[in-house]
Amino acid sequence: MRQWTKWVAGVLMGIGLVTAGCASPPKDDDGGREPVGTTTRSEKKDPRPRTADLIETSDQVAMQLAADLNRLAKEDFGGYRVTLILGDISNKSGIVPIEDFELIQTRIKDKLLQSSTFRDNIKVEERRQRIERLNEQEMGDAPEEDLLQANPVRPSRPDRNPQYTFYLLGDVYGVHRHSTHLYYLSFKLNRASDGEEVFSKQYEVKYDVPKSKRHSSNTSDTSVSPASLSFASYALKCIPRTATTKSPRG
Amino acid sequence: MLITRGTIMRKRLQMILFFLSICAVAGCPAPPKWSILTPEDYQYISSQMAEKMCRSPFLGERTMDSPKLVITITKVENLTSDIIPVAAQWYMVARVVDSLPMTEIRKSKNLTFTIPADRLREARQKGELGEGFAVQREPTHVMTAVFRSMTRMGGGARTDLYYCGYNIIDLKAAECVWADQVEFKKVAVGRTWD
Repeated sequence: MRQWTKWVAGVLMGIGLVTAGCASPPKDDDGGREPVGTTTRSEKKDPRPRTADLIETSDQVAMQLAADLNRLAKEDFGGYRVTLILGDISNKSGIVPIEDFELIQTRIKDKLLQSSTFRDNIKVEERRQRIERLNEQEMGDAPEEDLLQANPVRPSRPDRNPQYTFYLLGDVYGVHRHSTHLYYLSFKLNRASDGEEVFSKQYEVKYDVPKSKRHSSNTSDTSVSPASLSFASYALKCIPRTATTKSPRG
Repeated sequence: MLITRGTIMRKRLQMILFFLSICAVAGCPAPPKWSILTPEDYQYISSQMAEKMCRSPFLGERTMDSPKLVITITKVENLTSDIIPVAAQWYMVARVVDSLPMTEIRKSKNLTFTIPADRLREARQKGELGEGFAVQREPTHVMTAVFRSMTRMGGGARTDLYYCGYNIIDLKAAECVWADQVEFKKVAVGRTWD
């Protein structure tokens, strides 16, 4: 009887060790890197929007925006190249840093730029501060440090036609009640001349994340799940062709 | 004491099971305690980006008759929660450019790379270059990168999503003419995160 007890204990110990050993995240050739579309354990326990959902949002916005802008370029812009600039993000999420949404906005821009058709029709302009910083690096801080000696005048900012310039704006709202966290993200394209909204796409997501530690210790990973996930339809308005001056293509 | 055949078999099985358990524990490594970028990640990012740039329409669509581009580089702008050493910031841009077939690009794409402004400034300060070196340097574009991250924490674990965006920017027109990115997550378990 005692031998059988030892035998059972040995088997259980073996199973325990195998389970404990393999429960840890595997470290393979990827160096611990995981695809951005996955949702990890820590993300499920964090009340902020899951990164996979934000990535999906940026994919959806980029795809829709590219399709609409390409269509508008043919129908309303008369073959002229319009300018797209990353604009302001209004962050009223409460608990999410604005840098998270700036990442998403940048990702939308980078996705758009991967389309040749899009680049032919739309000029994507860098943020003013960044381009000024890059030019300063090139020119040097003081006149004697001017490295572009053949062209000592700092390049001026190109003129834009406000009728054909658009800003990609973002609005984020967060509503938090106990363990429920609702987020509403909206990306809009507004014309520089009159602020008219020519594109809009929304994303809404709700999470249930138990707060207390003692509660979470009794729950499994499946206790946290998005209660709802929906994409709202986009609104698109025509742009009048009454511009007095047009920026030439290229 | 009588040792039966069954007893020997059981002991052997116990030994095998114990050995397999040790192997399983040794084979499965400890969970990572940090989610910061490692030198392997730096290599991965730059290799991936070099491949993407070689296959990009930006390079593919250019011919020897395209307008001449003179590109310079700057280091990575680090907007992540991780501390990336300055050397690594330069490494990750320089390695992408260095992996390109320069001779072929210069001839068939009418595109050249010039010395970075910071590098030139540093060399001039040391007095290692002649007076006339690079006086006609006039880059039209700059290749740069911005790294960003998102952090999520919970259940004693942490996840960092890293977004490494590379761009080529027209300095005069302020236009972003090429952009691509490498993105991935890193997971840390336990209390030591950084």
